Amino acid sequence: MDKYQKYVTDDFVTDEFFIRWVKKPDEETEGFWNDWIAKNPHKSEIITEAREKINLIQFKQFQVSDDLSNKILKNIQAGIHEEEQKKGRRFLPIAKRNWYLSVAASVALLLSLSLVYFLFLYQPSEEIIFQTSTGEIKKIWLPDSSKVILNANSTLRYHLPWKKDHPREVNIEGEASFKITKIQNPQAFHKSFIVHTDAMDIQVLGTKFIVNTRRKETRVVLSEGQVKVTPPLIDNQNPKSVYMEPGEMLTFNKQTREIKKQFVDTELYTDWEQKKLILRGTPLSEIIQVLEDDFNYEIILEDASLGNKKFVGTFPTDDLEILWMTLSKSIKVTQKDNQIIFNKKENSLPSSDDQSD
Amino acid sequence: MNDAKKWEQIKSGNKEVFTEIYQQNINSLYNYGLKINTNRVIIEDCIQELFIEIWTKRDKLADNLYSIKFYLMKSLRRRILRMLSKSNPSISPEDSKDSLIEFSCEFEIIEKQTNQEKVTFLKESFKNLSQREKEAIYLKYYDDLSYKEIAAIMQITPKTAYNLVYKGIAKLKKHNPSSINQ
Repeated sequence: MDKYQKYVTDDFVTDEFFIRWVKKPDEETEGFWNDWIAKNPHKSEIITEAREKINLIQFKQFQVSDDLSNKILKNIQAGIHEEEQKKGRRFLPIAKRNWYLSVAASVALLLSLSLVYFLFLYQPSEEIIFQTSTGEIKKIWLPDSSKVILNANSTLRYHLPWKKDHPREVNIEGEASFKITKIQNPQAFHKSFIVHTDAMDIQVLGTKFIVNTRRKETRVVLSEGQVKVTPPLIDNQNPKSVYMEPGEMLTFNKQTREIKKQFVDTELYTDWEQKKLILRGTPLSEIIQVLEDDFNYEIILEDASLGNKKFVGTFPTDDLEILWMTLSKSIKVTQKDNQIIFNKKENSLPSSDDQSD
Repeated sequence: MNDAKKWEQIKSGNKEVFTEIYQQNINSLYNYGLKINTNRVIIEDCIQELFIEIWTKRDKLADNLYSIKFYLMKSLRRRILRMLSKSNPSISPEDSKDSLIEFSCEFEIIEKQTNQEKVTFLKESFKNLSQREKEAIYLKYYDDLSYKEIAAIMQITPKTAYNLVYKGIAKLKKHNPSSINQ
């Protein structure tokens, strides 16, 4: 007696041969099952039930768009290129050693040493620049595999090559999020990592943090690890360095040179990495700043008191329609060419809190 | 070209086949990633790192493969878990990293006309499934993987894989609205 005789519905539903017949029928499965059903008509109801149950199992699908697929592929190709370059560089010290060994101690040594230098060791320093335009976010791998997510309208610069006798350094204008590789074995890279901005130097002792150098304040938000911030020299006096803990935000006012530290909800400052804008009682004045900095809108606030109006919600940044719709529930939003004008709604009752989603 | 031949081609440096494999699997990989963890940055990072490593270390690729899809999914799952456990240092190495998975599976409620009746699955019955049952069912009925492959991906025995699917299926109760209205 074959095993199928004793099967109940769920046994069929989980049987691989049966599933194949229901989902991807072929000659073998069609032949077997049609034959079996004909020989076991009393089982036909169970068979029907089992088929139905299998067909009912469907999952909500996410369709990966061509754009998304190409983006990921490009990053893969970039990463491969990066790795292959790293491999190339690692071979150099070995080549150098071979040269030293094979050259005799004579005048020729001097000549061949300078030849070695120019052929193998001399690496012209080149500056690498990454820039993002309005609304664009770029993911960048540094030579030590650290990851930088560069927000819109920002610039990241650094010089190659990165050698182990010199701290790893980059320069930031605008806003970027960093995930820095910790160097366990300082053979390839220096242990220290320094981020230079126009206002201050940030020495990285840990891993995840964000730097924003826009406007009058330079801002650092630390998610993980440790960071030491050194403001620029004031009247030739050595400035005091400030240490930051995870969850802290440090702001440096470029004009007053005042430094402030506070604990913040780091998610509010890193939401842009995931193309989201998270508002938790955020005043309109701050929302305007993000719209101007990241998206290059020119915003005109006709009524200054509206600046304090608070908004709540999570909005996708690749489709700002949803944000406009929510804002227009409590204020008047008009668009004229490149300008967005915020105004008081006619006949509106004063309220300080508005919510969406 | 079957999977074994494609794999050989990649090992000998055929970039076209490599790109082809990416195109053919990106959709199911991304969807599987979304089920394990909804953070798209993590999913994209892991997928990227997976393919970068496959290419740059292609001379070290193992020969036997059940199927390329299976290999990719298994590697992706391992990578995502590794990345998640890095940012969750409270999980000790002895604990199963599986506890980090919140398998967010949305079954689609399909209304099918069978014999003039509308049949769906009870929404409630989905909630009774454990994370592992959901994942096993997803791998079986969406990705069409064998119990052996499911076992290898989830790091369990094929018998356990079968049991997970069976228990999960048993929990899914059909809902016949017409019978309620009588």
